[in-house]
Amino acid sequence: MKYNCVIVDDEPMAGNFLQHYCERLDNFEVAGVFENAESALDLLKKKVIEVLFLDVEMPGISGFQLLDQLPYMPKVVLTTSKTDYAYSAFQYNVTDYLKKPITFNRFQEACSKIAATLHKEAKQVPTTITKTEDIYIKADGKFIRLTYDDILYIESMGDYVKYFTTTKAYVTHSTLKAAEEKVNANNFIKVHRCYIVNLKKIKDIQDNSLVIEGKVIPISKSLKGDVMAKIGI
Amino acid sequence: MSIEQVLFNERLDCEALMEMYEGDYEHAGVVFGQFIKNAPVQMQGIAASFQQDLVEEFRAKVHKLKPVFTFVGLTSLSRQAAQLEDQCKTSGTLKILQSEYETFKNDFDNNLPLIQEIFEKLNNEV
Repeated sequence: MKYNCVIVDDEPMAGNFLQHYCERLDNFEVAGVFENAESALDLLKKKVIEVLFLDVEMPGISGFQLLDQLPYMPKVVLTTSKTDYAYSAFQYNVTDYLKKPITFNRFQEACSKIAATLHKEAKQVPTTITKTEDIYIKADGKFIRLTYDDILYIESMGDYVKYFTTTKAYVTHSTLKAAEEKVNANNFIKVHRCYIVNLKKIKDIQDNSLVIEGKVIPISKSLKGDVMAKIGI
Repeated sequence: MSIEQVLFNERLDCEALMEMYEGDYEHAGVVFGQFIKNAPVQMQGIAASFQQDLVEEFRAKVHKLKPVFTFVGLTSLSRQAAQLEDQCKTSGTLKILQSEYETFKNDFDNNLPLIQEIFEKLNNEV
């Protein structure tokens, strides 16, 4: 399996080094190299990536400020020439901390650690803590409790699932099928191969779509009968 | 000529260079080329901050260039940069770092032709 990674370092030579190192590994694919956090954020908000090699001290948005703005938490490897950030690194639950100059051996060691963690996580089926009124999802490096009422809808994104709430979206490494098993069938229904919706949050239904909080969600032809039956139309 | 022969110079940290490039002369060529292109410009920025006595700006620029020296085997310059960076943290002015800064700047100026020479060898002889 190949893991998508993004490199953020305002020093081009340092970014080039990391890109070259990634290219020497079979299982890491560079989705982008950025010289500032702002540009990286544009991509990171559109595309879910697994690994982020991140410099800390950069003009404008720092590495830690970038992490604060991410809607999900990839595996993060801090790349810095300072050791002062160890405590913050711990707080942000970063996977590894590489001090510059980074040798290929040390880089490879960090990547092996990440690959092993990602492989292990991919095999784990998210655990349902309770099937009463809430669920726990693993996102942003911790278990987050969401009540059914918090969840507007759930969207599949390949190997990930995104839980949309009124305030925030949480990305977790899972499948839509696993998400469907976690939520109560009385409250939620699968309306499309990529969407599960909270029945209480539907504002209106048109021919082949429904609307929740302004978001138009498609309804599959094959699932439309189930949806209509469920809401009693 | 092998990459080891090209990179070997008593003024450079050859052990670090060998570990970093592991015989990959193409990558070494790219990095040495980038250093020649970028480092003098960055040193000019450092000089400007020093002249204006902008301590934090000077520290940030030195910090950024610090690991870059090691990419071309100038580990001693990287150490000097680390010392300057540390001294900035406790100093309200750069004036007291005049002597250290000048040594740093002169060492850079003196080593740049060597890096240029190695870059040319990497492109022409390896």
